[in-house]
Amino acid sequence: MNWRATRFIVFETLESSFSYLDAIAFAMVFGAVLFNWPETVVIASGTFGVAAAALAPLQHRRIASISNVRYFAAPLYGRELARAFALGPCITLAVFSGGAIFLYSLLRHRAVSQYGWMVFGTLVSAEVVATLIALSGCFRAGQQRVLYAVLAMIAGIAIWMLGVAGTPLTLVCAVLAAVAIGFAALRALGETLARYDPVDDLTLSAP
Amino acid sequence: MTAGRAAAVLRAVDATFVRDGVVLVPPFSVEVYPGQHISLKCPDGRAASIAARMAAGIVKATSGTLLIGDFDPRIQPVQVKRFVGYVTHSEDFGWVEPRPAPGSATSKPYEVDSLRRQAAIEMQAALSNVPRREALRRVRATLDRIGWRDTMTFAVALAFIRAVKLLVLDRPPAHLANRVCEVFTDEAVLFCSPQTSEVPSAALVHVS
Repeated sequence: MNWRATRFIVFETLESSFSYLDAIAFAMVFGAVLFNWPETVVIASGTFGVAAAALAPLQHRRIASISNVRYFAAPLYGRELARAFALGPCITLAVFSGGAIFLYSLLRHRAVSQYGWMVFGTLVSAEVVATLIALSGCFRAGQQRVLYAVLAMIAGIAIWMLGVAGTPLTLVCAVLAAVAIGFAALRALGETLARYDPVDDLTLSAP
Repeated sequence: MTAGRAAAVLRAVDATFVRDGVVLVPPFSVEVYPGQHISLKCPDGRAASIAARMAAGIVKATSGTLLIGDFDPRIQPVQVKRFVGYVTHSEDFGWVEPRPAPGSATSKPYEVDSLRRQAAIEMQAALSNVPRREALRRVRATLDRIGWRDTMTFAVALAFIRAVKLLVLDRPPAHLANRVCEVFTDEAVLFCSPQTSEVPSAALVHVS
């Protein structure tokens, strides 16, 4: 395992991992928890966040960032690239979640309630899974890419719904499901990268 | 054409690349031995770029056989990439500055200490898992060998951060290709160019 390469790729791809839609979703959930809005608002906000994470394959900025030929020219296995590509979005989501919890504590002058912890934990789990599945779609085209986005959305929303009740038991169930699906998605991303032929950046007009 | 004795560093037999039923690189066969300089003439620029990536183990042949230093890129991709230095034509490396105007290539000053060049060396060293100081030493040594100090020669020097045995250049400018032929007499070099460009110092292999 080449940790230097992993660290380098994470730093290089971190900027493109940032998504305004994710940030908005976390802000909405944060607002809903802070002001004790109805549960339907929390559910809708989280669903919006998961959908935003699942739309990664349709974001040109992210595709361009991770399909750069220099990564594929380096002596790295597909699984090493997969881990490095997955770490950036996971770090971003963790920062969003941590930021929301910190802001909550700052504004309310007290620790986040158990419900708040459970909701944010579930949202991060769901978004990580959606992102990991969606990343495989970045290396596909056309209908396949859309199918991966839909699959990511379904898996993410399922985990979100599993844990949105905000009890320790539902959080454990959501996290366990997220770990199982996320692990499979990461392996699939590694396989995808090992088989990927980076030629999409070469246009017909090449001299 | 064959240098004989030593083992071939690249051996392709009817290697082809097809995407969505479209033949992007027609079948080509070539053997490259240490010290040999081969120019692969492809139907167009895109075919040249894909052929270069095939020779560098980045893109896998759809059909036919392609072995790089006796390694198969389909099952030993990391071993292959340690073996090959790839110099891209497209300036998608963030650190490559715009190519200097013709005639100004030799006069452009080389600043190894500039932040962009340092970042490029750091990137290549990290991806290749080579210590930074050793990477810098290899870049300097390669640039001293080439003698020219412009953007493209810097890209060639970066490729030599790994101890490569085959250098693959994707659509190099003629002046660079000729200089590489003059300097790297012991290394195997493969130029991939469209039909229209000239690399007079290398043996020609046509892809059609």
